[in-house]
Amino acid sequence: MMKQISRRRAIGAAGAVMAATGISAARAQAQSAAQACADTLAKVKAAGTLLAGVRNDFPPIGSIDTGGKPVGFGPDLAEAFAKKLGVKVEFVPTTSRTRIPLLQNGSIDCEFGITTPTIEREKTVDFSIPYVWDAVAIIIKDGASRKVAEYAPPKKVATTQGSYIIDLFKQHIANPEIVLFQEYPDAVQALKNGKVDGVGVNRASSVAYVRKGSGLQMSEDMVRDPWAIMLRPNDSNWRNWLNLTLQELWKDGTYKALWEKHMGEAPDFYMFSPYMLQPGIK
Amino acid sequence: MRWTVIWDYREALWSGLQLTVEITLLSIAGALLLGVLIGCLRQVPGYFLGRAVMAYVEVIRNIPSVVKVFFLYFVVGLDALPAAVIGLSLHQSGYISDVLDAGFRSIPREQSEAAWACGHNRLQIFVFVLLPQVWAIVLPALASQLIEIVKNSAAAMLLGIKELTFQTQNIDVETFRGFEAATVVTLIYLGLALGIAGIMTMLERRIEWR
Amino acid sequence: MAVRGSAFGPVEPTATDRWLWRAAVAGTLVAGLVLLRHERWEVVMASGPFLFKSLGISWLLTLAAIGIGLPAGILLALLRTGGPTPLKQIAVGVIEVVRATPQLMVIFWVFFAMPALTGHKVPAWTAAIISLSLIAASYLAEVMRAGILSVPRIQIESGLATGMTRTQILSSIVLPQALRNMVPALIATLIMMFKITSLIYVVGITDFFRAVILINNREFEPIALYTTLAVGYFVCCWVLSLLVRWLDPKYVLAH
Repeated sequence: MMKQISRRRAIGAAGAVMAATGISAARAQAQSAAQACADTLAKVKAAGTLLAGVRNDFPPIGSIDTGGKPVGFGPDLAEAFAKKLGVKVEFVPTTSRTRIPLLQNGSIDCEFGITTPTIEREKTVDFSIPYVWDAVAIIIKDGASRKVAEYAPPKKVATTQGSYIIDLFKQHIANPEIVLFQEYPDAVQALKNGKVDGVGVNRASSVAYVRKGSGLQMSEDMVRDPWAIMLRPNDSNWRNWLNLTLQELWKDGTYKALWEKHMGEAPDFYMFSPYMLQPGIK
Repeated sequence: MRWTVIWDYREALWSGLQLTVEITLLSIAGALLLGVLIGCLRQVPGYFLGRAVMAYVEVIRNIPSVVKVFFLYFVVGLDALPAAVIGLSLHQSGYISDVLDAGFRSIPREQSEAAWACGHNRLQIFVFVLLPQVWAIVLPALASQLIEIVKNSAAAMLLGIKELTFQTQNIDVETFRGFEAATVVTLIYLGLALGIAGIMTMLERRIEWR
Repeated sequence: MAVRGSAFGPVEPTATDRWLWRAAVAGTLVAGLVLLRHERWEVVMASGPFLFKSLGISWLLTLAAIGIGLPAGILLALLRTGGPTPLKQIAVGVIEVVRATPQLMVIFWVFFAMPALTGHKVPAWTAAIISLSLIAASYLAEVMRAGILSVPRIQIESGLATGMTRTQILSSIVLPQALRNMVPALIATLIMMFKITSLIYVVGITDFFRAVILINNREFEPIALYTTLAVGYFVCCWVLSLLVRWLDPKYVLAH
């Protein structure tokens, strides 16, 4: 029995060590974060490579081709940014869960994903001006009501964990019953099997599910949803460059061409304001 | 690092822990029942039964638990909780039957042969000679299997069940305190594993004492 | 392959029995194919090269983890069964903590937490191989320990009595028997390692599991793709277990 007792003691001791490690790691993290945010623009120029976080699970913004290569609006735009800087681009796949840790540990320089700037996120990361204005709606079965407010209990609505669509449900539906999945296809499959009555998604991504003969349709829009390029905080050189380059790409038509290539229609939003770009954009 | 964030989420974590414990206990019951049954069936001589049981074990062992859980939920059409519990039970039953099988094999063949020579039939030998001994042999290995169930219970999250891993991930995605969340979830799972190890040690002691 | 015996000894099938069994297996497979014939299999076919590439990555990670984890596991097991006390305590701590921690968290600690601690970025592949090897080492150490303990103590004592050194006893008495006894547990652990590679996507590496999920995100063909996933894993894990049995052909007969 001595063996078992010593085993238990060892686990306890190791647990304490891990907790202590966690605390000191926190301090180290704060320090290394302070160093990391020096100047990403200079870092990218010196390295000759832009480490671009892109989604590969969210067509048509970011997905993979049949060979597994990242494709979509996000990767193409990242390539345009890299070209402006005269560097190579290296794609790093991100997910809703890994995008912020990957940014924090320096695996990516910025993310061309589907990240909505929120107050809560601003506490940890920084954002460019919105680079896409999408909309959020609910995928529902053919013949179901298109009115969002009608999806109160006993109806169930689904989306993925960590999505800010959860907050939108709470704003637009009275006491919604929300089921959270890890991947959108699983949520949509649950809708098809009658486990839930609607799946909150971005309009941009609905093309993968709402096809002819799929038996699914879209509800009315809940809200316009901005996405921004995500970067590390306190890095104004890098953010300025991203903001200005975004507007330059809009002005020279690169942005519109890429958007039409992936979305099949012209963007229905403006880059900086409905009136014009930032004064001084050449 | 803000450890207070964990305190803010104490209710969510508590409800997640309760669900994890519920899923784990139900799955442990199911997996033990099924695993012991299959483990015993593996001892029954007979070509077709042997082959069928081995096929079951291979299929169960070689297919990820996620696929089983999804299959039960989407194809069979069970609700989320039963799908998770049955999926986890099926998954671990293969391994538990392995543990039991190894236990039976480690009992010297001479014992069965001696009992056979004394005129006992196979059922008698199995129930009165092999079965009473096997528990003491398999308990340590069984403890590891039950700890695996604790960890695998996170698969329930894939069906939208808000268990412990789901809740800690929620802290991560809502506040980006992934560090604190990871530390806390690690410690809670360690605690659960410790609890199971402790119970199994107690059982072991009791069996040895007898 | 001989039929595995039960606790009552081996069972000898007739030729008819064998054919009946094969027919039953074939029948099940055909029934499965008929049920799934309306799925859009062309989606899976189109991504074939990508799926094979990602399957290669899964294998690479598994083999690397086993290649590093097996020696490390043997070391941990030896320390735990007969090392000096402080080293023994460390070995017990590493083994038990890693085994009780959800595997995703081990990867998380190596890739995200340790770099923050040391201030050095760990490349994704390095982090993946370190964390998987750590997991493999801990599980294999326990498999090894069970194997070592299964060798009767009296054999070791006899060895000592005849004047053999500890190293000699270990290499010519304990390890050969321990390895033989741990074959079933070894198979289970290797299969587990293959499945654990599916968690590595958090560091940005696309393995087979993640590849299937990504294709499903693009194409939304869950039944066809999850079937592919199940078949892919079944075949690979089966090959792994055959590999171990092939390394020790006597195992089936000896038991």
